[in-house]
Amino acid sequence: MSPTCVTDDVSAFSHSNLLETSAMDTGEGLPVWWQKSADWFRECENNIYKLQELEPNWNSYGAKPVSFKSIQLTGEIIYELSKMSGISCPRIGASPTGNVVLSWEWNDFTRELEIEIDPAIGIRYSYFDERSPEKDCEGETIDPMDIKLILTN
Amino acid sequence: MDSINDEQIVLRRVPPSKPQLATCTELKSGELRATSIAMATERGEEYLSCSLLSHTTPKQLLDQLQKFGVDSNGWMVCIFRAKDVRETGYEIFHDPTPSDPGHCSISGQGGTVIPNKKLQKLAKRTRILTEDELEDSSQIS
Repeated sequence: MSPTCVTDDVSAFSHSNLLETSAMDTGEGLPVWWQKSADWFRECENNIYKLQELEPNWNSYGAKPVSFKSIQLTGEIIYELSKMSGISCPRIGASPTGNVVLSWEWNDFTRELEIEIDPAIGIRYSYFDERSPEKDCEGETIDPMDIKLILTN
Repeated sequence: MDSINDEQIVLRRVPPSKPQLATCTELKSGELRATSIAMATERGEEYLSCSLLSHTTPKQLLDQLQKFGVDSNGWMVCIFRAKDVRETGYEIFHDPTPSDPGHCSISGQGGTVIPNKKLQKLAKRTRILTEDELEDSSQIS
């Protein structure tokens, strides 16, 4: 697992996205980045925004509603991930804290990665591998590339 | 505090699963299990609330939704055994409340905050009850 960075300000992540988006604009109406995201991106993004509909105590054990900041940040992260080859559509959910949660299971359901998008932190991840428990890890990052590395290694 | 033996069955409510809130997933066997979305605690929270089948039936657990003003339509109940909790590295103890005599709490070892990845592992050991099992808890094994 590569070392990851931790920050208490995710503006650096958002700013890098804006720069990339701007640099790839063709100037012909539709930016290139829309053409490069995976087929699943739009439906996934729509479903993430539907998390706004969750009411307080949606899990019946005291969960908070999902924060709009987390939804917005997840939209940016999922866009970045959808441009990377080998990344499939995640399972979508929420945490009782009020953040968006995405997860993937692969390798015959023996590996699972869960990420929680916390606007105060960035991405909090938790990975386990039933066949190689020594690779289990948890951490925080602001770089979607760290997530890709886990998903494609 | 009552001790809970390894074979006792533990229950937890699972919200309806939707594309934007995947609370359950299908196993290779065709059965359903809860995802960690349905098994999560708030960050820093020390306990995951569950119920013991020996004291609370799945139907009673879903009936508790009424007091929150929630329609139980589409809600599910997942089960696992106390040994699943312990083998995943948690502790479990009976912690009855006025509204749920079977209420029990799951915590990290030594009462520590629960690490995320262990909740993922516990979720993988769950099974969603069928409609028949919800109606007649004697069918649960």
